[in-house]
Amino acid sequence: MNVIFYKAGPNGGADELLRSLTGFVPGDRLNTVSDLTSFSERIRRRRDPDSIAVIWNPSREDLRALGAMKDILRGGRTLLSLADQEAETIALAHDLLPAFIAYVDDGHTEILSVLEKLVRAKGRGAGPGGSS
Amino acid sequence: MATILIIDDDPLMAESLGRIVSKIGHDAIKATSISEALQAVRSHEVDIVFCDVRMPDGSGLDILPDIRVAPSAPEVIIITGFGDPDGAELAIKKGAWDYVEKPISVKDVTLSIERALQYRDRKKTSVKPVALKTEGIVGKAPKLVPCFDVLAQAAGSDANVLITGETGTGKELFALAIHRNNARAGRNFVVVDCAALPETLVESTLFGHLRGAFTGADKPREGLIKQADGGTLFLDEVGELPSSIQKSFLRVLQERRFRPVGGGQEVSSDFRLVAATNRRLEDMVRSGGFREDLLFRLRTIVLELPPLREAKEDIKDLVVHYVLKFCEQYEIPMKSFSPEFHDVLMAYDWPGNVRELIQALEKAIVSAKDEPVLFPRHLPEHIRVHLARASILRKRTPSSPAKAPDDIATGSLAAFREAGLAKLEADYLESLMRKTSGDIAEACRVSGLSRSRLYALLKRHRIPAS
Repeated sequence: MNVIFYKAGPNGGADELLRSLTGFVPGDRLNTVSDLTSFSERIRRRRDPDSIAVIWNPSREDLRALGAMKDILRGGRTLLSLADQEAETIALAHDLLPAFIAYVDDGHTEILSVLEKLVRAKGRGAGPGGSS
Repeated sequence: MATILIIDDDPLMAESLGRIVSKIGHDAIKATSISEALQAVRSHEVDIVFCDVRMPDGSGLDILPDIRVAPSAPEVIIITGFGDPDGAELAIKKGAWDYVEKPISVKDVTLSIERALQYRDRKKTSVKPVALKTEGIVGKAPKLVPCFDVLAQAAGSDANVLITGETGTGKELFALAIHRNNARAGRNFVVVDCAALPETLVESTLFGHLRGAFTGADKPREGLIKQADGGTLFLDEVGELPSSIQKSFLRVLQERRFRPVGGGQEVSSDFRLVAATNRRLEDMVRSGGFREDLLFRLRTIVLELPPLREAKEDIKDLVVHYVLKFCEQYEIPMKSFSPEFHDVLMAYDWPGNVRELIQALEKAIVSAKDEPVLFPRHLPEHIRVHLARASILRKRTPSSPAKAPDDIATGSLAAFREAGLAKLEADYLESLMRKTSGDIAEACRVSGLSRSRLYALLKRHRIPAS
């Protein structure tokens, strides 16, 4: 299972999450990018249907830009860690049909536990594939 | 005056029904076989079809989807055997308007015709809905057409919807289409991915929490139910919802009110619920894994999506749609297809359904690189291997009829029974491994066997694990 990690905004816990991820996601399956063009390119080229996109601390502009490529994002699960829970941010986030929304202020533990569950389930072979 | 088609190979039954139809002032057309019936329904303006289940050239139930997509889209009344509740259930599930039991009574038939015609009149005079927005949904196979009817019905109401279907059949796309065609389209469509949520996070994710509700809750958070206020809450893989949450969620469904974690005050949320599952929730209810009252609440409207193997007519359209999409995505010229490429796609059973087809097409485009034509060799190896194995197995299977009973009664019944069971077990496992393309995890999920038990059985029957 590949994880494509897009560090969109200021760090705020992203490095801790990445460090924790290396405990159960092999290095060659963890791709970190920090600009939208590289992220978009990685997402377009992903082959693994179980891959997970983690988008850390995106601005509303980022979310709007991601909305334009939401069809491609649907090829796998998307986990978001948002900077705020303003109605506009939330609406833009839900437009991406994320599997989970966390908040940067809350640290990385929630998003980490979701990733752990998905990676373990895939490891067991019970891969909780999306329903579509 | 209405035109009523009677499909029955029993001349006496057809005659009796015809007489009743004429007596109440309608025209009767008769068909004594399925092929004759399909011809009649395509060439006449038919309002109602009476269809017997057992016909010489097939089951009347199997042609229901074809009848429903005929130009006049007639209502279908199935003629079932006396005291056959399974037949009646199947008829309704397949989309029949009604059923009548044999021996038929004049009163039942007349009433059924009157009701069906009233419904038909109302349907004709009602305002035609605007075209549905069905972005991303490709297909017009007879098995898929009734799904669009249910989609339209669901989009026009606020009732809870349960979408069922195997993995990869497009449940999320249909859920989204229900939202986009509903008055709530301008508000949030909130996905709750029940399979991704660890049990410890489900409650706070759904209901939200107040500051200090638990260790680490430094700020209050709005839950997904509140974020769906005015919009749609989509519970994906609802069968994975932990039992502990099912009870509280049932109350939310009933009252559209809930308490955030750590909160004393109730919060309201006017959301519309769409749930989806690839599991048989009825079985889960029986085994105690899912609450029956919650299931009743969820399935006000049920949308059952067919597996791709039952809607193969759509493969061609899907291929054109997705190959075009991928070629645009990769910024390469549109590719054409060799006839064999299409043959292979049609021969494969697609256990992963449309999702698997899409992945196979993307793989084919990437493999083909600059080649302008797609050939079977561009498809994923597991598909080609699966088809090659299936073809060899088909050749190996004798086509001779079953042995006569006196040929097999050569030993004790116990030994015969054991051998029979072993054969059945081996057939099942072979089919299982074929269907799952050798994916052990998927085979365990489908069969309910543990990994070690499955390996042991495969070894016993000398069936390769991949």
